[in-house]
Amino acid sequence: MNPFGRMANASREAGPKEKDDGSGGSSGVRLPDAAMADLSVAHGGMAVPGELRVEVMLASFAFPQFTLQPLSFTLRSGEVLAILGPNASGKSTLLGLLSGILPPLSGQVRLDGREMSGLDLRRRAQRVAVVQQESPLLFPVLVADYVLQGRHPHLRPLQLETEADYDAVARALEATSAAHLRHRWMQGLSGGEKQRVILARALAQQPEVLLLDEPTLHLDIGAQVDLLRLVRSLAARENYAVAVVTHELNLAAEFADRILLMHRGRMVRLGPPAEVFERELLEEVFETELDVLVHPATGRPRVVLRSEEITDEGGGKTPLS
Amino acid sequence: MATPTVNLPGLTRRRLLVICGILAGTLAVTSLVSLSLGAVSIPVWQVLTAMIKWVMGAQDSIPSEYRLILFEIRGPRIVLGMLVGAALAVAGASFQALLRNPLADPYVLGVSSGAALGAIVILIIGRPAEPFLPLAAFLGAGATIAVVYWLGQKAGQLESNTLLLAGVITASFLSAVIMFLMTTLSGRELRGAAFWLMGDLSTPSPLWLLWLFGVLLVGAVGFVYGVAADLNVLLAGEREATHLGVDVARTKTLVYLCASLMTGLAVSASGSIGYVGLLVPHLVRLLFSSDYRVLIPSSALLGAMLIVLADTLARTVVAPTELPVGAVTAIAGAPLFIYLLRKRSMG
Repeated sequence: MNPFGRMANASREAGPKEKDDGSGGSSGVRLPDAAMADLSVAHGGMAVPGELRVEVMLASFAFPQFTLQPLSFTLRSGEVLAILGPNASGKSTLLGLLSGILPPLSGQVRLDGREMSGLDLRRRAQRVAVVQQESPLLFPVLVADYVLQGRHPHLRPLQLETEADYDAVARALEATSAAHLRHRWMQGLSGGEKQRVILARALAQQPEVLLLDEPTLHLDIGAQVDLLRLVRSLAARENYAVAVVTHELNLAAEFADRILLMHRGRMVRLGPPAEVFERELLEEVFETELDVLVHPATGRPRVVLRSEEITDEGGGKTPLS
Repeated sequence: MATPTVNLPGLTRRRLLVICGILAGTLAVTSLVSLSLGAVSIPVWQVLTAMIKWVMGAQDSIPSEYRLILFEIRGPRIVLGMLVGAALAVAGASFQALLRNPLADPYVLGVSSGAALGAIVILIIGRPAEPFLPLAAFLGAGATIAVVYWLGQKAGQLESNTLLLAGVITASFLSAVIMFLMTTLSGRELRGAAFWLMGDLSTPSPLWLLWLFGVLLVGAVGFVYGVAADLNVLLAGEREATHLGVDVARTKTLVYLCASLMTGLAVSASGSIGYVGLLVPHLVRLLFSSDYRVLIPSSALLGAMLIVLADTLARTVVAPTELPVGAVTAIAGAPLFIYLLRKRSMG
């Protein structure tokens, strides 16, 4: 059950490559066209043990200036899926589709078999929680009251919160190690504390699916690691299906079970970090010179900026190149 | 897993009732004092006796001069003051949530001026005051808030300072239009028009109008109260609210209509009385809670109380003449507005 138990083997030298059903089509593909991405990588490389939660089936979306090409994948309970890609590659649009606020132009996004954007807003909020960059708070609000807002979808109009709601808030604050902040004002928190409280509000919704839009933005490295480690362990313990949009390649490689790589509105790769972190692929997607290393302890891939000296020395430290 | 114990500041039905009880009690005492004060002062116990007799139906046993003063002059005026105060305070709280701006208020945003303009247009084209006047005031209020909302956007986002500025400019523009229109009025009508600009409760209202006002007000407050929990979430941001299960478009439309209706009603009955919608919700936040489920009923009661108080001052301080009640609220409200603005820009 514990996703930690299944360790991705990142390096081809480090050990035999883990091969699961459905991953074959994706290996060796360089920036495939939409159809390839849709059909061949639909199940992204590995059988995640959890229950099927969200199915994205050839879903697409179009803004006047931007088109998200049809793509397909699934999100299972207990897994952490990281959505990576450069700016304007379609990550946030994809998150909009996953959360149901954007109805797909074609195809479907389903939550347990039912069309996501067609669900009643309140019922959807009981099952899908979204953490995103917070709008500025114009009125002072206490942490406890803020987290209590997570109970809103569970209350009927005019119904006051009950003991069960306060218990859910207490557990959410406990799970995010934010219980000691409950009497503080939101405006007075540090970036890391605030992000934990925002996560606590999402947990208070007691959702099945947790969607995070750049949760580590503006956090220092320690707070970033804390937050993602927390998300990782919550997914395992509480069986959330988690999708995280992020710019932090290395944190994604460390904490995600699978990575979905976006480029110009297309899904170009889906799979465990070791499969997605190929040097040529990342260089093309991010349009910069990179090297992919392997973390000596975890075996997970790492991305570093290419250094002249390392390249000149013959790439001794760049086994994946 | 052991549930950690927490003492969260929960809202209970008992707490809500206690808060409303305290405020209702204060309102009753203020009204009693207001009934007894004036050119002819009537001892409070006499007022109480008269009221009990009136409720029992024994109106003939009340001394006739008391009956006239209490039930035909001061009483209706106090009831009107209560309705206006409640309407303005709840409208202010509603606009603050709708526009996500703690400084929103029907007067500051120019909504009152819009309603006044609607009312004056009816005066000028010579239509009968009822029912056209309240209707025109409502339409004026609704149109103004729509314009201010549109002007206050920057690239599709509602921007707090732009919005306030848009409101202030709109108010000043509308006041200029009102001034211009007033030059076309004759002397007697001019007195009536001046009343819209400063806010005044001295014009007696027919009983049926009070009833209509009361019923509409209760309806509007009820609708806003019905979405009070949604408003709490909406204050945190519209996208967040959507993700927490709030139908943002429906909630905003409902609150927009109700707040415009309340502003229109208040202005049509009393002219534009300023700052009540700003002052009262902030007092409630300071004294009790910023939870809209507390804020809406408490603002209604406290707004009613404050207007009755302000109007009592307006008609007693410089007796035998009267101040417009709007002057009293502006003297108290404008410094508070500046204080809140400075506190916010420094915080």
